Amino acid sequence: MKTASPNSLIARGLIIVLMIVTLLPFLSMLSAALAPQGTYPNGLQWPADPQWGNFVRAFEVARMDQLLLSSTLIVLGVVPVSVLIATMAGYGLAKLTSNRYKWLYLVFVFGLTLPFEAVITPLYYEVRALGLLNTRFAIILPLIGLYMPFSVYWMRAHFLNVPHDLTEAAQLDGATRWKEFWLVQVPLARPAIMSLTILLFLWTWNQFLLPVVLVQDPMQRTMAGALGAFQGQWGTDIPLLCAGSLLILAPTVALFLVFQRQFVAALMQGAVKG
Amino acid sequence: MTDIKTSPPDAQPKPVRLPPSRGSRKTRMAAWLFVAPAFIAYAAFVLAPLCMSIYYSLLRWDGIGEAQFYGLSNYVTVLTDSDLLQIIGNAFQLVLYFTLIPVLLGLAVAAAIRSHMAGRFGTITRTVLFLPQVIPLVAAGIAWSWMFASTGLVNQTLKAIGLSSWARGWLGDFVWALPAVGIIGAWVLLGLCTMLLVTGITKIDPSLYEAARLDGARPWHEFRYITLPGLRQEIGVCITVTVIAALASFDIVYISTQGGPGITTTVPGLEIYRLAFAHRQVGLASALAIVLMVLVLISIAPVQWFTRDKK
Amino acid sequence: MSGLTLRSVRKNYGDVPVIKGVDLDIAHGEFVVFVGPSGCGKSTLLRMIAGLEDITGGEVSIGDRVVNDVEPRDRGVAMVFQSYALYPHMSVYDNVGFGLKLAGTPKAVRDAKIRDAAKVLQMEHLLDRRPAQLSGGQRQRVAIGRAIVREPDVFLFDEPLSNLDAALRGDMRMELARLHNDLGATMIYVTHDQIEAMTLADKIVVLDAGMVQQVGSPLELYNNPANLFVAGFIGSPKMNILQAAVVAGADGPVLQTEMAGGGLAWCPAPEGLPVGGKVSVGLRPHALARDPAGPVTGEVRLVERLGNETLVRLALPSGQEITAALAGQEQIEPRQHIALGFGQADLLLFGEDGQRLTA
Repeated sequence: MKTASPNSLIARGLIIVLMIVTLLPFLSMLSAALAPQGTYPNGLQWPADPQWGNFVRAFEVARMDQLLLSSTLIVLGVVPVSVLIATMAGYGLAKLTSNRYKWLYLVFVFGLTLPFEAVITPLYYEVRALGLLNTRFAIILPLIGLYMPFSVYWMRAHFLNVPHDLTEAAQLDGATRWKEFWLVQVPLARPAIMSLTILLFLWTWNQFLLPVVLVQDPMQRTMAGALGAFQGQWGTDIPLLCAGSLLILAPTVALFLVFQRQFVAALMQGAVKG
Repeated sequence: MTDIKTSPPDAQPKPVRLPPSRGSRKTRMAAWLFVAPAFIAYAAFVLAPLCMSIYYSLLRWDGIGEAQFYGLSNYVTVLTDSDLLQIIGNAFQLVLYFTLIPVLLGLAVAAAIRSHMAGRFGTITRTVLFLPQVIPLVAAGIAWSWMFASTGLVNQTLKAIGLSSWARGWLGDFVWALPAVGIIGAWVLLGLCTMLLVTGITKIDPSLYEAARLDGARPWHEFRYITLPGLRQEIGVCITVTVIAALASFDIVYISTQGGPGITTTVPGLEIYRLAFAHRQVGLASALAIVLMVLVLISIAPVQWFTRDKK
Repeated sequence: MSGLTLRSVRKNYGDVPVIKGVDLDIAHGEFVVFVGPSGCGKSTLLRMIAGLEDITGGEVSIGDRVVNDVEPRDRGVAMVFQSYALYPHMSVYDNVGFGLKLAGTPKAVRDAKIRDAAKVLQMEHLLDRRPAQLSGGQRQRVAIGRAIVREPDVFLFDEPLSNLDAALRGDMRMELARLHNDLGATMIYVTHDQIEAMTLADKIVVLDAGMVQQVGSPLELYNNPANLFVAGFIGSPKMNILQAAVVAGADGPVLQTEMAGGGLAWCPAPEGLPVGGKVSVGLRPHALARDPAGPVTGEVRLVERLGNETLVRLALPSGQEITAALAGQEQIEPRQHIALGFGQADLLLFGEDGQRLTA
């Protein structure tokens, strides 16, 4: 550790201010969530009589158990499949590096900056034509496609760094492509796969636009989508809204706190590569 | 003998080889098969809809009845209608908040700290600053709606420091609603940018600063000639991420203001949703969607160009 | 019995030919070294034998089977890579046994083979480690062990020692020679280091620019290089090459170089050389010795004392510099003028096309 120079004292001060600014909205929500029902609480004020029961009520009103189940199902539908096919494609694209195949990679990369809004309208009609409107598949299937540019880009970047010799050694050892992929490449790609899984989990869990457009029933949505509906319904009951919001963001925050290191690494790399 | 070759002992094996031929026809076939599932998913749910978007944008269609070919009229509308132009302008105003605040504050912190944040303090800092990245944007919107509410923390603070006259319903204010939305975005992106820049600055060789000081550089010079160039890539990343977040914003606006009051906080993302699903102007919505996509691309391209390592 | 045959083997990258028709016969049990400067195509040729590169034209046969279209895994070859290419996520034990596992070898058999190989290579104590925990030399052994357990017909080595330091390289060289004796298998070894080639090979294949320059035993190549390229490539320090003109002498044509006072004028030219023609004269540094009456005189530029011999860089009157390797510890200082002599049998003559001229 370095000794604290005046500079680093200023820096620490700045960082502490930033942390306070980051935390204040959460604290303000918490204080409001504990205010008595039907009252109009103040910004940040510890209530005389904290109403922890508000959380119980919000849990019931929002049907949190169902929401958790729904979000989990959607995540389970999206993440494993996306990670698997993106890993395969990343491996494949890392083998097709000659100029003749560059276009394929560029087609994928083109999607990196594509705003979801640019395709949401046709997606609605496509999903409707498939008869999937208002089902979880309306969210799952498009998300898998929408995640491909980033996921494939991510995995390809990893596989490009794996020495080509390993592939050849495996070939000479008698491995088929498929076996080489599973026994040599995938185990080596574990860190990259782990980060991708974390990112896709977060993005899916927090996805808002698709559920709002494609699924009417909040119980079939993601957490974030359901939170939108919850706000629409209970927007005027500040204590209940705040309690509900805190509950809804609790699962990801809890996971984040447990896997802090991995999350931070994944988010930073994700930004750099994206 | 004198010509004993001195290759570095046990260095990272770096096979020097002729131009990579990357294997046989069979290898390429296998590679295609590996790419196929992802490509099909991508084609079905991104490329195909994108083509449909372009097609719809040339139609006058309410989503139900007969569609009419409309040529480029929808694009003319997008680029001339004063409301739509204001909406696009709003997105670019948001860029100011989403991008400038996090990047400038992040730079300030990075330049001041200029070392690794180790130990418990570092862990706590990382954890706290990344919280806004982990929660849904919708939750950020709700939290800040409450912060900006008339009895919220912002007004409470203003009153506490004697600025009661400044207190207002921020998100309902014709002048202040858009900046308020911008603050929400800045809050979400601040931690990420700060951490990226702090990490970036630790990669700059400290001896550069020492050399500069021996050359008589002042702190400002150090920042201008060492820190900024050294962070070029990280700054590029921050700008790219935040500009996309601003131009393609939807969640925060939808939750905090619904685009109001009037259309002062309406952004293209929200307008596409409204036009397509509330006003049933699928053609116009699609044209706006394509314009948005192109705007994002041409906003990002120069950033990527300037901040890439030029070799 | 698995020899190996190449018949006019060619390889193009796009329009660029890198292997321009190679014919080669390798007998079972031979240790063959492909040697040449970087970019000469030696690694490409090896990889074509392994099946890692497509064959543009010609035929590769292992035993009596044409293997052009056979997958690498079915060719009965094993390869040791320059980078070792060990699987970083597997223990040494699993690295060595990976091929057997893929082949469905029963666990007990596999275990026995892995342990045998480990014993041969004296790495039994490393079996539980990961490649990252090993030194360069140990990784090398693991890579060889992985090849051994597959009991291939042909072993392929792609510059296997180039990532080791000099001392270790010497040890591993001897170990490889011992291994070849013990296993009696066919081995093909690629290197750009002629010392490895000279010490290991039964047969050396010198390659340059995608073509075989000469095939032969190490001493054949040293004593009778077929052309200037081989002459310059084999032997260390490098052979000195002097330009000479064929001039008329009393008893027929003689060679003349620009050495002091007419230099090699007493050397009779081989038959068939017209007066006025030009030849290159090769003279190995070790063929030179001090001789006050010798024809090679000049000023010493540089002296390297190696103990057992003294390397002298000598500037001829023409300005050309040559190297002499003098036995023992000669008392010579830079700027001194010395004279050297040589035996006539040590001269090698090459024509204008670079090919050897035999008298």
